[in-house]
Amino acid sequence: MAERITLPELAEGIAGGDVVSVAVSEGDTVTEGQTLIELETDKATVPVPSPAAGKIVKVLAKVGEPLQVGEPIVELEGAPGAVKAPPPPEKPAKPPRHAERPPAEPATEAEQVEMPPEERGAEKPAEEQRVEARQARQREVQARPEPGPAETPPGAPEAGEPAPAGPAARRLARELGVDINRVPGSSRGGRISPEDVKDFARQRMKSGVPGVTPAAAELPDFARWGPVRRETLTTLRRKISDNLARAWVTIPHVHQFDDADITDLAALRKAHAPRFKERGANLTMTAFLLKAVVATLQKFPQFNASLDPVNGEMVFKDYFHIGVAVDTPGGLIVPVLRDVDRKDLYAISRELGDLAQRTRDRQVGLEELRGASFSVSNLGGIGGSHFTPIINPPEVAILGVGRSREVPVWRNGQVVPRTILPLCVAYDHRVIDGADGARFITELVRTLEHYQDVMLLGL
Amino acid sequence: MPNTAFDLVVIGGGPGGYAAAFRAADHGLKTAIVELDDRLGGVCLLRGCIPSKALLHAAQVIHETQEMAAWGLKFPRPQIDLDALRDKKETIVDKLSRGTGTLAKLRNVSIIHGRARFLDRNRLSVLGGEKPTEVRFKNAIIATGSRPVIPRTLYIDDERWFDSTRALDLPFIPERLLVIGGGYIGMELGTVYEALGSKVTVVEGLDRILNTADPDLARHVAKRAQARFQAVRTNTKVEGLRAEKTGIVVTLRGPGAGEDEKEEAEFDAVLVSVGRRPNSEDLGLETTRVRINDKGFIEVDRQMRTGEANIFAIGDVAGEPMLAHKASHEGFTAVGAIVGGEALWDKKAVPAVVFTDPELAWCGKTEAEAKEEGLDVKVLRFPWSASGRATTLDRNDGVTKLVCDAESGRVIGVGIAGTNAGELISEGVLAVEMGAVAEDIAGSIHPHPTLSETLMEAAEMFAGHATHHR
Repeated sequence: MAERITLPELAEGIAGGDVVSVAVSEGDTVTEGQTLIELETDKATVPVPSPAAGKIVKVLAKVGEPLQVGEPIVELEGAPGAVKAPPPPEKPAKPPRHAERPPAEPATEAEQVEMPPEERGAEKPAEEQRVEARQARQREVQARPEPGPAETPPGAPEAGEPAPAGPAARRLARELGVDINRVPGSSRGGRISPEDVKDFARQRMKSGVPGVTPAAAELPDFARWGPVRRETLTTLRRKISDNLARAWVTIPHVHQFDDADITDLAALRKAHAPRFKERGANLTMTAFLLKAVVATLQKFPQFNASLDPVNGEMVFKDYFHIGVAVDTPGGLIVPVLRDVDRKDLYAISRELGDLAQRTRDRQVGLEELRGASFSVSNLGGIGGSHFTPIINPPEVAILGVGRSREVPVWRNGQVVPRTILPLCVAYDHRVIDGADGARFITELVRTLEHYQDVMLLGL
Repeated sequence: MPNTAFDLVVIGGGPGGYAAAFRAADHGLKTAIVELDDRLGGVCLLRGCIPSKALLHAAQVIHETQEMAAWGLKFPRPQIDLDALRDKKETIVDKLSRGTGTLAKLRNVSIIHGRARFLDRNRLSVLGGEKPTEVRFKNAIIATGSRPVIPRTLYIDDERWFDSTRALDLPFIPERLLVIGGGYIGMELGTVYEALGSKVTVVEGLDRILNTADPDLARHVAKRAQARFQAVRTNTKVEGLRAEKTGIVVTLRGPGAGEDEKEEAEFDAVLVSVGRRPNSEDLGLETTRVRINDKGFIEVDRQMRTGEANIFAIGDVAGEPMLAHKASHEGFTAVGAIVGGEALWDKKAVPAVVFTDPELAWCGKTEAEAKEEGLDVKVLRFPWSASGRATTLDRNDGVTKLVCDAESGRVIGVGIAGTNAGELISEGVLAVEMGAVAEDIAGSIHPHPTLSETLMEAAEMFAGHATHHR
């Protein structure tokens, strides 16, 4: 007797989709798990497997038509026990990412996770079972939400067997951001050693971090066009690459440009530089910039903040630690100048010189690279005009400074030579509105143009 | 100490709390412990594991001297100086507690004596002296532990009525002692009093004693207890207690009293040990987002974090099993989370030890749990009757059991009954936590003749051959 096979619940939140293909015809004999149709949901294209073996009496689903959960796909005959659609998996499996995955595989496994082991054991060779159990475990891990406060009740049983790895390997995996359940174990009985975790992480680094670095495209053979040579990336370069990719992908950047007329400030610097020199400090434009930036940050605290998306909160910082990008032979490093608001130009100049030198010598401590609340990248010493810096998370803004130039400016009815500094502030548009971005850079420009008025007189 | 601010305040100076505080201080956090008692150590050190183990050691010596008669070594019955025994136990407790205090001092961990109440997510009031002190904190760990459950029908105000705390104080040696509750506390204290000369009767409401242990382990304890105790009565309930001049009259209902009939029996003392409950009340938690479940445990995530992001809970107050070593490790996880490490509670094996005679110990999955979860397991049992070392001790009453994945041989649980099981279980913990397979244990040379060989021989059975057992 024929039974109607209906569309099971494929995953949480998926109510149905459009039938993109029908893989069986009337009269076909199908095995359990064989793909009946492919369904395009708003999340992915998913193969829908047959819950049992039998003969297709009638195909009810039509290509191009929508199908909702519970609606019939086919009529199936002769399947012992094939009387109803499979129960919806309790823990929904993630829909597969690609339609071209081997048919039937993902959803079938989802069912089997729920089946008692004896039933599974009756048909599947041992190796396949193990693979399935492992995949099921992987999906289990993916499907589980991140533990939030009190979301995971204490002592809640972990579904599936824990990964066969000791505490050291598990901890290493957490630190490297590796899902231990995905790491193949090389020791006796498939035990995962710390070395296995490292190998896995290394492998992953080569292939790119999924979801952050775009999957590495297949590279052509460059040697076809001429001689090439390869150099291994340094750890620093890899770190930079990873961080920047993550920042660029996760933060919606807005870049706001402006120019500051620093003619007066440059004169001020020039007038006082010798006296600083006598006291062993180099009074640079960066020192003035840092003071001006902090004065502006104090007026716009949302630029001296971080976003805590997990708790839905902004974290405003009552300290002003400014990261200063330093060009080193090994690559970009951003040491942090602390409590800039509490230091005078002399102290800043001295510390800045010392910090930059030690950074170039790679003598800077790890702690000195942490805790910035805002960053400044000044490329003026090298050249170039405006450029678009990338925010250093968890900060929400960064200032990029180009090289100042003397340009003819129309002022009070005449053309005069003025020194103009190109500025660009990049901010995280999730937490800072465009109007505030414009206000921030306008205030920064005003501070630089009327430095003494703003800084000394508070005008 | 007005307006003191700490990076971390730990409420409760037990094995969870002080371990967490010490770890935090080692990470450079400015740390304080708020402790109600005069001394550090908590229930475990002051009124639990430590004093009971000291007394159980004395009990063991008494038993062994008695049993040596069979070896041709006859000792006279020991004269028991109860005051000296109590002093000795107190000296041991005091030594350990003072040691803990010294370790706190060396780490500059502040000890604030008094009862803590949360005012909000960053402030506590501590009532120690006449006036409450306010303590500010960035992070807090609640490690307030648990206390005995005393049902109203099982309480009477009488000096012959004991809870575990009072029993450990050795007020006197009753001639007839009734232990209500055949869990590990009741069985351990029953063993102590039996050795000191009491006629001990244990009543248990369920159908067997030590019901959290697998029955094939617990039966070894039941067997010996039946021989040494006056009686072990299962499926028996206590309906009431009544103080009389001659003793405490207890109303029992159960099979021992005839087919489900009531019976009255008189004892010289009664010990109530029917369970423990978490100390989650009166902490001012309503001023925070910390949540408590219907059993009174504080709800935490896998970093031991409560509903309030900067407040953690560990140990007995955060859930079963109520074990000191679990509390310490939960404390390490919480501190790891506070200092920004990738800490996570991901233990596979929390060992449990019952210090009866013989001892019981297990870790990972029990055989019962594995069966209940429908895991395909192979259970390997090596009886101590086949152990040379057990035979030299004349203690063949034991078994070593491995619960292995039937396919891979992965050791997912270990259970041991027998003398020194508590010391032996650590190898099992290591095996389970490391993801060892039976062959790993079988292929590691164990010294001969020792009880630890029973683990190796059980593991050999996975491949079908144990040298000393067929």
